[in-house]
Amino acid sequence: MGANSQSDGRRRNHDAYWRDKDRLAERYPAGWFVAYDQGKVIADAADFESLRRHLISQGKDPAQVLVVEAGVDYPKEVVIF
Amino acid sequence: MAAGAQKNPYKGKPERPWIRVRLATTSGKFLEFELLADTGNPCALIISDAMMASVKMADAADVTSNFGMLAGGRVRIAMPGLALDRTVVGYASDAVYQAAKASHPDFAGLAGLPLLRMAKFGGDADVFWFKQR
Repeated sequence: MGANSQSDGRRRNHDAYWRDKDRLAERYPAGWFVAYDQGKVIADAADFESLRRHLISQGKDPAQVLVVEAGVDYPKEVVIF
Repeated sequence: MAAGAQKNPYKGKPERPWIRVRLATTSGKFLEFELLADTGNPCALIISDAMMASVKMADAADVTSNFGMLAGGRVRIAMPGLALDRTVVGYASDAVYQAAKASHPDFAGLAGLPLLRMAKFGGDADVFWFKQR
């Protein structure tokens, strides 16, 4: 996969997550791990390692898949130093 | 001192506190980094883009900062001496990496409060320590 299409795929996953964020918190228990690929939820699991193993078994490269925890408020902006 | 506990003399210009962090790579090996300890930093860790590529277990949400965009990545901290083995959301930024390097060339990035508080940390006039809770 080329760098541009990887970057596009990454953007789609991130856009989908921020769009879905509140719905994820309603649909899954707090702290549940949810995976996005191609802008869609493709898997979920109670813990990260189980989800990662599942993604690999499905032929996915986890490093290219967005994994978030339901109900977690990830910061959108921070100040460093 | 207990196994795995760190007692690190301040270093750099200006002198900075720092910790050694061990991360699992995607190929099942481990990499050790020295990270400038920054208790005011709300990100668990920030490393270079190249280092993140070696240790990223999954993609994670990005965040914007005064250094530009920080690219999220879930990384596995593997420090058995401190009873730490868990994945956390870290970030990649060459701009932050270069800023840390400007303090001391050994620094490979920043360790922020979310990582530091996984263990006990503190310092005195000479050293910064990081040890098991």
